[in-house]
Amino acid sequence: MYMHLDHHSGEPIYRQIVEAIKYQVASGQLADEDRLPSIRTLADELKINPRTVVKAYEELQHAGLVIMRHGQGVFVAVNHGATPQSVRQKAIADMARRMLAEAFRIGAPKQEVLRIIESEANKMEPEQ
Amino acid sequence: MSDHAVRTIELRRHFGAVRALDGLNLEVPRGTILTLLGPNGAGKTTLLRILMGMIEPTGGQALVLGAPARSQPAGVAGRIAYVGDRCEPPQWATAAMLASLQAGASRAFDKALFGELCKRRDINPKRPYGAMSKGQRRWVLTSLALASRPELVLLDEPADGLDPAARRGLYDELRGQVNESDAAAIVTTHIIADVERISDDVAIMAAGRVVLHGPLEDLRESVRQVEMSGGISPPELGELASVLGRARLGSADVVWIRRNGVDDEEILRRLGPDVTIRNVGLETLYLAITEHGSAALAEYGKGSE
Repeated sequence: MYMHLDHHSGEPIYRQIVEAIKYQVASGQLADEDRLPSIRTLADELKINPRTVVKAYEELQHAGLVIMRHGQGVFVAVNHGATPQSVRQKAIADMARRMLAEAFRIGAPKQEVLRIIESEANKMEPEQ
Repeated sequence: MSDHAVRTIELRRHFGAVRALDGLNLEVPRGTILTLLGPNGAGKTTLLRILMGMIEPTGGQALVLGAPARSQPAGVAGRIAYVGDRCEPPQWATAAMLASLQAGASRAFDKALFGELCKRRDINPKRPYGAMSKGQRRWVLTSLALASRPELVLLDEPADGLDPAARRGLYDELRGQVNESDAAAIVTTHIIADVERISDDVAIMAAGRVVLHGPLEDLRESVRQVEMSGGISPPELGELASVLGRARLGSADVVWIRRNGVDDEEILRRLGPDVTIRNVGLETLYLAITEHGSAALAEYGKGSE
């Protein structure tokens, strides 16, 4: 499973794995019921401690994105995106506020931010 | 069977009036890599030499694979591998001869792995050690250590003289072994980029003590740089977090902290509007502690742990 890790960003590695898998699910590279690599395999591939992979998978499970089936492995959960609209909108607004604060801090005008969001969304090509 | 490959308790080692180790507490669980950071003279090499049983502690305890470092039961020595500056083999010995010697010392020695590691860096097994380049010598020594398939690997500046590709190869091999056989490793290096790539745990040493110790992932999540353009209220910050270092940079007051269970927003709320909080990389953290740590200690008392 290809995944780019930035060891020097200050961002915890397990969280980078979580984000990468979330992205792959959102963009359709990973489909419902797809099986994720085993903990061992991913740790060997990324040259990291298996415990870090465990932490990432647990976080994904907690967020409802994957399910762990005992003895079988870790699979992409089927019903992601089934969050009630009100909850969903609040979560997205929170994220947007944080992102905008950071974007304005580094001097990006609103139009530029919106353009980038649009182009990133198009890259993901969600099913609509 | 202990879960820790290494455990030191209030470990002390004095050389005359110099306290090379001054009450050092450290634990290295099996299946993990610990990197030791610290300025020259912080005591890193002294620690490794004590763990190897090469020198005796002045006080305190050093447990290695469950037994005191100086009185290891027969057979344990072969399960520990060490690469450091002061263990040079004879100049005339070839890589092949060194492999035979090592095979005699440690039963688990994997000749095929050693051969493969040498081949990877184009090292001719018939070449005498003295005729090799600095980087090749380092590679041969660390390969000997890893091919012994040890339960504990102690690497003192293993990257010295190695090019980036060789460093990556060395550390990838180390990670493979640690994952595969639940081995443990202590690595000292000044190359921060390597520390960020290979560490499970990081310990920063200064003046014979451990100043900061924890899983790298936790440090990434909990260490922050707090910048204050106006004045600050030092006691309040001390309540919210452990203060690791403090400096005046330009007109801003900068404090490096390790949060204790409070989040960034809480800190922002408590400290008021003129405050910026940033994530910091390991390099910044290291410099904060070694360059600006004592000012913080003077002001806030004991910083961390």
